[in-house]
Amino acid sequence: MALSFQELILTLDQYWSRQGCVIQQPYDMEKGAGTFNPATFFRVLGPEPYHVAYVDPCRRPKDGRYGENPNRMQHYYQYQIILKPSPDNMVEMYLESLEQIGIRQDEHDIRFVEDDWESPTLGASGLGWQVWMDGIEITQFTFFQTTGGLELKPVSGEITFGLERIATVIQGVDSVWDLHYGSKNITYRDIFLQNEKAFSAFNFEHSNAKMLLRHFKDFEGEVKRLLELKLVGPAYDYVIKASHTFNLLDARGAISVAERTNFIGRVRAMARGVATAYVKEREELGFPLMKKG
Amino acid sequence: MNLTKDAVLEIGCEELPSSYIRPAIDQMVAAAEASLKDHRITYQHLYTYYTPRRLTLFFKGLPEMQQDVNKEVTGPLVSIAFDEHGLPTRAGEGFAKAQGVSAASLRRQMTSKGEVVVAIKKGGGRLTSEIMAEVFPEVIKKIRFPKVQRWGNGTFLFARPIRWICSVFSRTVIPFEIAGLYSSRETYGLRALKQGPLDVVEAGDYLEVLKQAGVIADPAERRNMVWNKVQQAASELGAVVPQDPDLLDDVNNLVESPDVIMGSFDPHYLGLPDQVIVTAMREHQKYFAVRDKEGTLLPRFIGVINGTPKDKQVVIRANEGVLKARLEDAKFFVAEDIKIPLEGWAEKLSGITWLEGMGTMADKSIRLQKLVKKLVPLFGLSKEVAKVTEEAAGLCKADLATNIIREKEFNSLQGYMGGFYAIKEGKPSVGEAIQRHYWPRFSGDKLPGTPESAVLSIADKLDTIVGCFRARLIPSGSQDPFALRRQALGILQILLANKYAVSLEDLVKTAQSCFEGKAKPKEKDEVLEFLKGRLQSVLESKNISYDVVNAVAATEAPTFIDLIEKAEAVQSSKMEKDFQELAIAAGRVLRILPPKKLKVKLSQALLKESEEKDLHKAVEMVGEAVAISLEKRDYTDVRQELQSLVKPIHAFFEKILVMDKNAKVKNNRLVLLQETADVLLSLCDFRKLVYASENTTK
Repeated sequence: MALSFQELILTLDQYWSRQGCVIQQPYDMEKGAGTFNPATFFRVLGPEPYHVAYVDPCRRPKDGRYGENPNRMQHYYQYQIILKPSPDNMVEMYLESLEQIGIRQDEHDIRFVEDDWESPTLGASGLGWQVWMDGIEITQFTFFQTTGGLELKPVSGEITFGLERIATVIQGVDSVWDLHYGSKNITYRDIFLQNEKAFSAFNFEHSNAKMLLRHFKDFEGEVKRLLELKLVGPAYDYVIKASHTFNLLDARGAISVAERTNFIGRVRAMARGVATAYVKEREELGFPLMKKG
Repeated sequence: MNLTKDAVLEIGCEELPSSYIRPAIDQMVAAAEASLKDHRITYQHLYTYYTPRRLTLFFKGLPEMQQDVNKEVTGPLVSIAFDEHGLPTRAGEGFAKAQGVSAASLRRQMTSKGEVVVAIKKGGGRLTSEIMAEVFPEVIKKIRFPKVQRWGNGTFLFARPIRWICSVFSRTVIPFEIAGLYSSRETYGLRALKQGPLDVVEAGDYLEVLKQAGVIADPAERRNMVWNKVQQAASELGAVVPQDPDLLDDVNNLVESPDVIMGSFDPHYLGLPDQVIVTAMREHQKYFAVRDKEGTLLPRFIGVINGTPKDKQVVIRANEGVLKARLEDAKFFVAEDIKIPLEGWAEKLSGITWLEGMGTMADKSIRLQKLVKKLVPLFGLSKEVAKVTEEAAGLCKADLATNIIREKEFNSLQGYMGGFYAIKEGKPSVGEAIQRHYWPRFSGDKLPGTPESAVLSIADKLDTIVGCFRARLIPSGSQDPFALRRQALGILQILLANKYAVSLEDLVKTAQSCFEGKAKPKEKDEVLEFLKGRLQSVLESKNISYDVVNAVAATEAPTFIDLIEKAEAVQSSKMEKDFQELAIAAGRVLRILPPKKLKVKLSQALLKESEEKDLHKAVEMVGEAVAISLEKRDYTDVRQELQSLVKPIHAFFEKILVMDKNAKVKNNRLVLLQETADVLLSLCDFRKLVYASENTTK
């Protein structure tokens, strides 16, 4: 019997917990990818080691299809693993995690296909792969080289699964809406479809662009103000807010191609400021996690 | 020498990008060959093996020890190498160090230059394996990749993390450390088999050890395996897979243990254009297309996979699902696209920027229509050609607005899809011109062929080049993001193939006239120079040397075809004795003239010496004859007529001093030489011709 959606999460949690990861919970803000979670954005900075795994909901307003597309949604879940520093056997650990959820190497054609990853808003980049299983992309695997514009030392390895994608593969269903969620006959459709329709309509048709533009400016100002007060965590929250606000504006078609670059640059500048402040703060604290090795 | 030992160096990595592998191997070979030669180590053969996870050098037939040397190297004068106290100076120390000896060991020797120091180099006796332990880490450090990364706590840069180094000479490990790793005799097999480290006991066993562990490390062997398996799978269906060496190389660098799967898709997708299906299969999924013996596409694909799964059906089903999703997308796009006519898509081009600050694709389409209208008569083509070409010009960019081309995966089908839609609308010749107007797309690609597509192709490329120059997006060095050099070459190739007798200058002016706004005064010459810069490549195929190209390109020619014919006339006679004399005489005239033209008229009265008068007469006569030959475009005649100037030119320079004290006389003589030069330059700029002997006489 293939894993249900919730069993998939539980199995991954258990496996990565055994590998020495802290299992964190989702961060309570709207973000486009698990990378935005402070458990990644902050923890990959500076010299302190950290191994963490967590589920994170992702919102990508532009990807909404009113629930009509079998595998494209504006809201979905990522499973994210950060191993810092990236261990020598990280690829083997990853392949073992696939076996745990029922994807065996001797049954599938698993391929590591070159992919250079970049998040222009976070000023983050790395080299790695898309991992393909039988021709289907199931994972993004990246060795982080920079974040917030800062060069990373040591290097963190990041593994990101799209949980719905991998669940459809495991359960052998064509559409995410048909996924068996876990309890009784509850499907993914039962839980998320109505919301997907509503948010698609909101993102594309009804969000208040004027208000959002005003908010973006406010959030940008807030990041500056909070950084002056050395309140790094709160300042970063407003970077996340600004980024999501930009995504909403973009989905609404309220930003021209030329302006787009400008907005992305502004978010990146905020992220850089916060990253630098975070490293300084940790340094002043004496990089506490260094002692925990 | 006894060349009996083998050695292996394997860099074991996480999966490398497939395009990085060959260049890395080539660099390793170059670095290892040079270093071992420096160390006087010869071998029978160097083999290279590679997979996505390993880069390997294999040396066959090595000696146990390096070759001995015993030689003397002469150095600086003793007076320079040692000071008055007999102590070595910095120069002396430097020389000794460079030769690998101590300054104290330098001997002295008397030579014709004086007393010099001599280093006696005695070397050798070192073990090959000991030298390799020094050479191999350097070989690895020297590999350069387009993009590199660090990993873990390390600072070493490589394309992907290095996980092991297997380095064995005969039966012993060649020990060294790099990227935080120690070399050993251990290697690893295919991931899916999950075997631990495997020992390479004797270097010569390397390939066999890997084969036992499921890895075919020899790329040639692997490539054959892939192709044979692909062929076999096809033949079981009575079908064929057309040769596709690029795809074969690509998949070969993605697997260590190749196997194939044959899948199918619903035949109703065959309603899509072939190119769409092939692109969906090839570009992203790297599948081979399958055709029947008549060449008709079959609803099948062959994929190359890494390793052999327990149940191929599982893998096949998943791959079929992916392909189905892609074909479904394509079908949806095409269905949406044909809902409105191509003209309708063309209207949407006003929303697509062409170049920053240079307007939209709609503006470009309008310019292309104007431009082809002007080019058709210039090329001497008919009104029928004009009609089709103009229509095609207005529609050739329309597909950029369509759904299918806006999708990244199918972007490479631009031109093809627009043409396909036009043909579907019942406009076959317009469609054909659209489909071919990007040709040639790469060096060695086919040319458009039909007059309609040839004109449109030239117009499009010319417009792009002029537009980029106006936006100051001019190629420099290796930077040529809009591939303007390739496009310029394309223009020349098409002109030549279709024998369109038109001057490059007229072409540029015509293209400029279709743009709004005024051009900077320099623009025309810049573009013209840029086009002429590509002549080299065109003429190379006609065995015309670069100096002849330069010499001819520096002069006026009514058309591009004339330029070629001039070049051929010069090339064919360049090495003849007569012509060389003409080149020498012409050189004397051309080199003495000031760069700026004198604006004085020749005065007959001031010509006093007979040599002056003779030259003047000769220039007038030859000038007339040359003018007639030019009119007839017979450049072989022009060359022969110029021959009559050789004697009067030499006579003039032997008797006449150009720089006379009397300024009027001096200027008059310069004007005479200028007239002579004008006649000479009607063939080529003789100064630019290179004769081998010039190297020494300079």
